[in-house]
Amino acid sequence: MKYNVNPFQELYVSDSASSNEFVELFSEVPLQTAIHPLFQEGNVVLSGTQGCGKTMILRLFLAETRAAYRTAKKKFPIPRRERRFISAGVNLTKSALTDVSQVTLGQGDEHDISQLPFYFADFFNYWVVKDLLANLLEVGADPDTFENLVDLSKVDQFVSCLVKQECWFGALNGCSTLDDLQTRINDRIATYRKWVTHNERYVGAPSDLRQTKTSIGEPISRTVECLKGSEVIKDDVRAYIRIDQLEELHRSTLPRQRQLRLAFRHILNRAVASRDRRVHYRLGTRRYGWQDPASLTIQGSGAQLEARRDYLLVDMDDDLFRRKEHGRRVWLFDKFAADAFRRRLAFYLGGELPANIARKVFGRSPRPEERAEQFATGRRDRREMERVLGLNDSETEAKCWSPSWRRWLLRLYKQSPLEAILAAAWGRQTGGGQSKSEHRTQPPPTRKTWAKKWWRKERLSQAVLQLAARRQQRMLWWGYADLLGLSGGNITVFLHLCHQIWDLFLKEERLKPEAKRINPLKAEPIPVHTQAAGIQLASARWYNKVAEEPGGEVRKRFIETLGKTLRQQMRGDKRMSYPGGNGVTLALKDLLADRTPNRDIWRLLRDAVGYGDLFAAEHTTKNKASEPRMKFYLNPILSPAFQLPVAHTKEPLYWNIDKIFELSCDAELPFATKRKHLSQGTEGPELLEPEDSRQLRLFVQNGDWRE
Amino acid sequence: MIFRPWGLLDWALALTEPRSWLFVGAIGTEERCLAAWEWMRFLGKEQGHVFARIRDVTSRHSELAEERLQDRERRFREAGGNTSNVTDFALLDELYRIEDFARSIEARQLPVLFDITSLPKKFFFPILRTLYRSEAIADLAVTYTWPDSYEPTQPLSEQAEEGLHLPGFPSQAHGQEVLIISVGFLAESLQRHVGSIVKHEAIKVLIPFPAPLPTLRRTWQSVYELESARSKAKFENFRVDPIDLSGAFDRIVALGRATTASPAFAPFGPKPISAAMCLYAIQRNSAVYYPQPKVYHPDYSRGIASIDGKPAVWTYWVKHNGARLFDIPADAQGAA
Repeated sequence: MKYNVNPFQELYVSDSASSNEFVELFSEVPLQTAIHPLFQEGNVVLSGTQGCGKTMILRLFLAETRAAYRTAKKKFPIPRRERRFISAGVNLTKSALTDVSQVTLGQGDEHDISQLPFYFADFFNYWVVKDLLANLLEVGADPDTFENLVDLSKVDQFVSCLVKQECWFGALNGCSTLDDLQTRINDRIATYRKWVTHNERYVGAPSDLRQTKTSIGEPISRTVECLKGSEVIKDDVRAYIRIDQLEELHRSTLPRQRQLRLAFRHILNRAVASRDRRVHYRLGTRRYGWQDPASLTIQGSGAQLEARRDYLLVDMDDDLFRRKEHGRRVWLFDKFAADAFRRRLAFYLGGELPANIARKVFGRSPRPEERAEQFATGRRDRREMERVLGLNDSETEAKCWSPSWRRWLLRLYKQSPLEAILAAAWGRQTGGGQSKSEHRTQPPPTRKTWAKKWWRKERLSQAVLQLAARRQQRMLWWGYADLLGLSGGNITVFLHLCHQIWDLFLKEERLKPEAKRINPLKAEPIPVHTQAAGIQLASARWYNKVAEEPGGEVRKRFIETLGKTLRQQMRGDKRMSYPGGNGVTLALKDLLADRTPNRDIWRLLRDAVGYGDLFAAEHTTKNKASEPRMKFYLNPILSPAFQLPVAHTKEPLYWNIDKIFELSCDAELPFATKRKHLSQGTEGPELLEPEDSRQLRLFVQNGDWRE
Repeated sequence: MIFRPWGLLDWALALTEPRSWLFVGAIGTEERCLAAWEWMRFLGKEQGHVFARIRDVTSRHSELAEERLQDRERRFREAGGNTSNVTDFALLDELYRIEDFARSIEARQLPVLFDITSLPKKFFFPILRTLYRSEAIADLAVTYTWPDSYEPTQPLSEQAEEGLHLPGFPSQAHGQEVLIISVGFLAESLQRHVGSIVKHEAIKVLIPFPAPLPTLRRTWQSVYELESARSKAKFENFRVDPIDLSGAFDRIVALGRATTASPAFAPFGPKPISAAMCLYAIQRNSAVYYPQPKVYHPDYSRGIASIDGKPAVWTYWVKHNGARLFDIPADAQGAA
């Protein structure tokens, strides 16, 4: 085995891998559920947090990817009947389309806001048609790979048909060949780019653009229609149009730009809402890029895009990878992670590897009792044991423990510190119901079943946390199941964990004589201590990565405050009354209330979920009112950094908005700072972040807003 | 080989026949923002001044930032500054407003001393582009003032914008790009953006060296963060003197000459290196990837560094008597 190569070094492979690497590294597992809607008719929104594997899937639309599969003699992972497509794409950021907001027509903001979206639409149309023609030529030039999808011998008829279309307003007049057409389209795009980048000076808009602005989507549909009419492609060939980085239009800063970008989004919605069977849009977005109903308005009509009717939403995080409460029999992410791991090892280190190699290399994860064993060493004198159990934390506390209870707990501690911690917590509890007296007011139990099975099970993680804290040690994670749990259904997190563990593993192995080295390719496991150290490092690094995303520094401060508060609460809850205290729940009506600071807090939490800093799920209270609420947890990868359990047991902490606002003030979040100014009677600088005109829910499904 | 003089302000301005300058700069929160202007006035070389006053978005630093800004304004007035020559901007103002500002400078048709010390890249890139290209500006020098120290622990900037490229400097419409990154303190947003933009076989990293120890430590931390999650084979590191704008430009020209791809830039390092990238980018329409932060720490830097008892105001001749000193040599123009 190569002891100088980390197969997980290239973390962001979807962005940087060549097509050949892609073929080897791409895992087909997530396609099981995504492939059906993505390669069928209709518009699809593919949403997911960064790193969930969205970009990898969208790369399957590229002609170069399919060609690479053929070169590598590998089977293209799309069923034969779904392969009959051509495609074009636009990245709203890279193409400079959004930079239309950086120019003015010189007649005031109102005029700009009403007119510039039409230039944006025209720029979009030309860009997509340019890309579609490029794709057509690529596919047409390789009939073997693409199974004669495109007949380039009929291209002149196509050009003749396209030029005549009224939608261009004469902008293509005089083009007789495909070269002419491409040149004309490229020139138009160049004019746009010169204008929006201010590389050329214009008064208002360039005149040739002003006179011939096309309507959103129409030239694209006409192009496909002419391709079919001239038999360059057959009637059954689909045209997919990919729009990436839609989140770029999600929010902006200054009022003018905000209004303009929203108008751009609305005009794009018009293309989607047309449900034109000639083209099928594929929109890739992070979760927060789609969830704002204010963005779903359709330009012109004022109506809203509707899920199922206008588009199908595929939420990669939720539909594919989230472990369901009542369990799919096979967790898709488990298979995905194992496959991605095997492919990485095979590609970078070589060899035929079994499907379960990841499970073998990382081994079994510890049960809570085993996890606690690491804290069982050290001094075991009476004083130390009482300190760990917190029996003398205060004078009042010390008085609560009778000598018989102390003797019983210390005896238990000698057998198992974890049991003793649980027993001490049980002693502090009343047993629920009408009982007001704590168990410790009675003599210690004589039977082994002093706590019920579920009471004990639900508190094991918290007991480990408290034991570790009292012993001034860190909780550790290792084993394949821990890696999956910490990954939270995100493949990039999983690979990041593998990367850090493998790095440490290589450092250790390189110091050993060759004969004594561990070989994971032979399914020899990586030592537990190496895994634990790697996971701790990976968590700390991921926590730092929170700041890398837009608005990340602000959210990082909030996450830090929240994480520390939860940890403090779980550590200090000696009764273990709130074993689910690694999460919080808020009433939905408070989150959705159209007032401050609720609006700001909702936006903060929504963004944190969208960027993958927090996980969220709707639930209802267990009381008769069944009040709808939403629970929030830190992304599991952050658990080692904050020393919190990963598992979501029992009910989370019931908080109100004020508590979150208090944390926001501690974290010096912008909206809390602004509110402080107002409460002090000082105006403070203007808030430049947008305020949503409408409230929204986090998840959308089946056309209405609910989980 | 073109000689591009640079040095401390008094030395650089004394190299040619005396002339009076229009000073263009920014009133910001940092003490160093007025250093070049004050020294130029002391030398009696000023013919006028134009300033931009740029406000960040609301943040935990707003109060302190406003306080610092008022201190600087007071000093500006006391030193003889005319407040009617100050234009207000929001940090995230649109490109056309910045262009209007640049054109109003161009319309004066005077020698321009352009101080980039406290001007965010979103502003100084398009302004420098206009001034460099303009036939109306025959003499152009760029100044940059070294601070005494930087804020040691807290983030220097926050809340980087979501956009990928600097407005006015988008990615090439087609073809491969070779990415040239200059590294500095702002590692976080650099990480995110390299993750989004890298489709390059190789990344050239310009590392400022020599540099003071604390700066060096933070810089190498940035390099480590950048390279640790990616294949090492992709990176090639080059040391560049952080104040040698001319040297940085020559390095970029050499890198551009060695590839058929279009150079694209990520200017996260010292301002003189960013200025070199700008001067190259404006001639080849190169992409400049830089997420503009929405908030800067009010004490981003403290004080003004001193060299032999003089303020460390580095001055770089960019145009002299109509001659452009930073034109890319014909043999390094590339295909773009």
